[in-house]
Amino acid sequence: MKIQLELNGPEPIVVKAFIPPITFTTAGFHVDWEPLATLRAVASQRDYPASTFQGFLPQNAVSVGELWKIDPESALQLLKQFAEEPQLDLWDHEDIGQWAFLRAYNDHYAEIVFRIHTVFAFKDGKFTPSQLAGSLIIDRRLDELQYFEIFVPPSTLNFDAHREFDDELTLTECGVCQIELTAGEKVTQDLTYAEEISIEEARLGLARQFYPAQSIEWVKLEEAVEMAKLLDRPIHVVSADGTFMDESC
Amino acid sequence: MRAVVLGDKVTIDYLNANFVNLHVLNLDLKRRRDAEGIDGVSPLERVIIGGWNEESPVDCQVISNELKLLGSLPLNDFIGVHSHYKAQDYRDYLSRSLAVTSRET
Repeated sequence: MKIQLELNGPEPIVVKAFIPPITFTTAGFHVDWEPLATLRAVASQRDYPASTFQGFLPQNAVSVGELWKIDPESALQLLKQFAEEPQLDLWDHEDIGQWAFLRAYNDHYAEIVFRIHTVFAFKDGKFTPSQLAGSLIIDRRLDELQYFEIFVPPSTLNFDAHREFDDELTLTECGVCQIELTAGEKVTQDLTYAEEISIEEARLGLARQFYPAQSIEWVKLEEAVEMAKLLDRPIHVVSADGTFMDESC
Repeated sequence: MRAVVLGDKVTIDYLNANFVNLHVLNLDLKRRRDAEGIDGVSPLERVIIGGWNEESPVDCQVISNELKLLGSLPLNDFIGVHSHYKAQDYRDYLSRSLAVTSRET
């Protein structure tokens, strides 16, 4: 079944941002490079109209599992609470899109998950979070925002930083950061949805919009040997300094 | 790499049909090795670490289900040499590794 999603208020919607100090980079950028050493949210709290979040909704009715593009202006409005100059043209050649996905709904709530890739530009470099994952829950009875969050998922490494020097030398490092935007309140009771896709499946569906290699059936390290014996296949291992599932390195 | 080699549809289908596919972060393996010692990591991790090419940021390895290293390709060197037909050449590398597996079983 397809459902139409709307947001009509109330306004303003208060959004809180949180970026604690970075505590790990592979070679110390977070200590000796000022933009990383002092990286904090531009505003810890800001008010937005509901129209900002309407840009995260589909223009037409959608069914569970259906993807759509987020309005880039809406995404940028919110990202400016993190940094002065967020960019969405990640790979410098085209708008790769910011994708959203209807994960679940019932007659009271609808849950959307989304994924955005962004770069924060500094005067002497740039900072690229691995990804910005997010979710948005709409109260369908009131057409109001119930909950909204954007965050960089925790991982061994979850950002990449390029630092430019006067002699045109550029050094790259990876590290671990925590970045969060939230609005509203989570629904705490257990929800029974009329239709839903698991959060893992939804996130994978979004990742495949950005990275075709996500269509490879990757297994967990602890499962690989048993699976290889069961299927009588060799193991193909990509052992890398960075990942190709996001932009962390 | 994701765009050129592993983003290729034919290669993706080939990998899904013939291999168990695993991606590991070198940093995770190094941390476990440094904390536990090489004897403290799992047998598969030992084979992966033993197959690392010096100063290679990405190694693509094929390991038999008996945990024998059949190939370890330093990917950046490979991409530098195979400038035009990377996806096909990568599949050739994989199929040669499969041939080794077949001969040994």
